Amino acid sequence: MKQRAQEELIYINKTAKIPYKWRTGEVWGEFFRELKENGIIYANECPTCGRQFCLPKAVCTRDHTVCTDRSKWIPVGPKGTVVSYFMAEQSFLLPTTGEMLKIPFAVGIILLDGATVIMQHQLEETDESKIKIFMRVEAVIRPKAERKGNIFDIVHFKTITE
Amino acid sequence: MEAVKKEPVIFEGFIIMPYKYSVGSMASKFFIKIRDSKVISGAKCPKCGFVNVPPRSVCPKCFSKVEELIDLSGKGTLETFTIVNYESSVQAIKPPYAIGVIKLDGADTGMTHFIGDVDAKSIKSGMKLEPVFKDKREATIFDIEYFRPVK
Amino acid sequence: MANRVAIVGIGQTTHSGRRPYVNDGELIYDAVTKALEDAGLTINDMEAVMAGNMDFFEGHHLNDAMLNLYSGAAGRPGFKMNTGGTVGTMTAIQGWYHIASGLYDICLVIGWEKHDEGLVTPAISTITDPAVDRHFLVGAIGGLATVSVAYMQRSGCKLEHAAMVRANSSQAAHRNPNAHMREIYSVEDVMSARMVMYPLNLLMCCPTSLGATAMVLASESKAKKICKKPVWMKDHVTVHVEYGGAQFGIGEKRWTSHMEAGAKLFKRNHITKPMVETQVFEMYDPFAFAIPMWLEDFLVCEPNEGWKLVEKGALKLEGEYPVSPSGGVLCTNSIGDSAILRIAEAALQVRGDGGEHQVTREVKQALASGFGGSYWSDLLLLSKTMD
Repeated sequence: MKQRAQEELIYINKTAKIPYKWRTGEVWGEFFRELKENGIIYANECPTCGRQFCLPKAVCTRDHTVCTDRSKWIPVGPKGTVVSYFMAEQSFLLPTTGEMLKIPFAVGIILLDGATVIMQHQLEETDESKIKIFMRVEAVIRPKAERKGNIFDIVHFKTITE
Repeated sequence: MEAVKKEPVIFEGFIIMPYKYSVGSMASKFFIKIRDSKVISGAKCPKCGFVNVPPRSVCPKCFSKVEELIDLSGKGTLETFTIVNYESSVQAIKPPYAIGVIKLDGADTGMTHFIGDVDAKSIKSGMKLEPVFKDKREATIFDIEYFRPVK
Repeated sequence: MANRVAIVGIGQTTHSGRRPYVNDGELIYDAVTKALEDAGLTINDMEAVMAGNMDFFEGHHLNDAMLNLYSGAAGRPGFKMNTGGTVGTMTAIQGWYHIASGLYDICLVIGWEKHDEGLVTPAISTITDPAVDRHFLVGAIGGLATVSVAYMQRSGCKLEHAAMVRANSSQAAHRNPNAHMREIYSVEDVMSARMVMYPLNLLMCCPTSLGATAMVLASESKAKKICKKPVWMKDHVTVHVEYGGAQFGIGEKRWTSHMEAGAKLFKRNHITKPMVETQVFEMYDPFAFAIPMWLEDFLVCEPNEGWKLVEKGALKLEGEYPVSPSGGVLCTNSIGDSAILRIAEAALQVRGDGGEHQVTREVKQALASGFGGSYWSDLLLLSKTMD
C-alpha cells in the first residue's frame, strides 16, 4: 500500500459550462405572462378528472386530456397551506447559475387555495422550529416594475396567521 | 374553446458542473512518460500481442487484462484526416486546424491528434508523421502539440 | 407466456469513496470478470450486454459507448439504461426481457457509477424543469426530506427511529466486505451528526460511493447446466408516477408508485403475508426513513407499523424480517450500481452465499427494490425454486 501512495496519478479537471435557452411552452408562457402583467397566479383545470394544476399543465398526466382551454383557467392563492417542506443547511452548487446555494434555504410543498396539485417555492421563514405542516402561507409577489415573467416574480411565501 | 396565446417564454441558463476524471493507474503512466521523457507508449496484450494506443487496460481483441506498456518511436502513418473550419465552444484550439488518425509504428490501433507544420492542401493519407512536443508539459494529451510530416 | 430466467453468475467490486487508481472502464471490467468467473463462462458466451449508468454524473454522455470495450458490449446487441436510481433494476429487467422473450439464452447485465469524478447533487438537480422546479429541488435530498417530514407527521415515527435504522445498517455493512461505509454507529452517533436538510442529517442520507456489479442471466435450459444454485427472477413490477403533483405521495390521497408495485406483485404471486412468504428484503433505501416508510408503502407491513418494527428490532440482520442485510444503499450508494446490487445481494442470500452478512432464516424467496428520482419504482421477487 505504501508503494501505491507514492504513485503519481493523473486527473482531468474540467468544468462543463453548457448554455441553454429553454422554451417553457405556451401554457407556462401564459402563466408567466399573467403573473408578470397582472400579478395573478393561475391554475388550469383538467376537464376530465377536474384536478386544478398550479403550475398549469398542457396535458393531464392521468387521463391524457389536453388542457389548453383558456376558459378553464382559474386564479388561485395567493394564500395556501404548507403540506410538507425541507430546509437545506448545507450549501450545494446550483447547476443553472454556477453559484452556491445561499443557506439556510427552506422550500415548501404548497397547496394554494383553489388548487388540487401542489407547487414548490421558497419559504420566507428560515427558523426550522417555526415551520409547521399545515401552516398557512401567502405568496409575496414582486412590484410590477420589477417582474420579469419567471418564477422569481413570486419572491417567496411568507407565513401568515389565520 | 379559447386557446392560450402562442407566445412561449424563454428561460436562459446553464448547466455548470465541475468534474475530476481519474485516468487510472496505467493511463497515468502513459501521460507521465510523455511529460517526463517525450515517449509515447502503447499497451501490449500478454495473450495475443495486440498493441493499443492510447493505452487501455482491456485488450479489444481478446478481452484479456493488459498491464504492460511498451515504448514506441512516436513516428507513424496518417490513416485519415479532416480540416475543421467550424467553431464551437468545446474546441481545444481555434479553427481552422487539421486533425487526423495516426497509426504509430508498432501499434495496432490509430490515435487522434492535430496535424501541423504543413499546408492543408498537401495533407494526404499515407504520409509519414512524427510528434512535436511542447516545451512546457503537464501530463495531458496536449503535451504533444501536433504531428508533422517527417522531413 | 414468458420463459423462465435465472441469475447464474454474480460479481461486484468493493465499494469506496475514492479510487483514483482505476478509471471507470477498469471498474466495470473488474465486476464483469468476477461475474463471468462465478458463472464459469467467458465473454464469448454472452449474447447481449445491458449497461446501466447515469449519464452526466461523471461528466460523460452515453458513456456505454465509450466503455463498451470494458463491458464486452462491443459487437453485441444490448441496451443502455439511464433511469436514475432504478438504473440497476431496469438493467437487470432488460436482461430478463431479452431472455424471457425466447430470443436470447445468456445475457450480461452491468451497473456502475464512479461518483468521485463529479458532483451528484447539481447533476440530480438537472432532472427537473429548468424554469421552475430546478431552483427548488436541490438534488435528491430535498424531495426525500419532504417525504420524511410528512411520514413523521402522519405515522408518529420519530427522528430516533431513523437513527436506529442507520445504526442497524452500519452493523450489517460492517459484516459486508464489499460495502462502502463499514464503521459501526450507535444511535447517539447518528443523532449527533451534522444536519443537512431537516430531518435528514449527514448519517441519515446515503453516501456517494463508486463501484460496479455485474450478473449473468440465463434461460431455464442453460441455467441448469451452468449453475448448481440458479436464483430465479420469478417476477417483477415497474411503476412510474407523474412528475410533480403526486411527488412521492404527498397530499390527502396517497397512492405512490411503491404501493402500486407492491399491490401488483403480491396479487400476481398470491402472497398475502409478505413477511412470512419472503424471508429477506434488499430494499433501495437511500435515506434512513426509507426502511420503515417504504416497508409500509410496498404493502409489506401495515400503515404506520414500519417504525414500530424498527423499534422492536425486527428488521435488522438477526431480526425476524431482515431489510437490507448488506447495509443497503444507506451504506453504499453508487447510483448506477445500487439497484443492481440489491438484486445481487438478495440473490446471494437466496444462494446462502452472504458470508458474514447471511441472514439466519433459510431464504426461499427474497424481495429486491429499486427507486428512482425519475419517479418510479421497481419491485422484484427472487426465488430458490422455479415455482
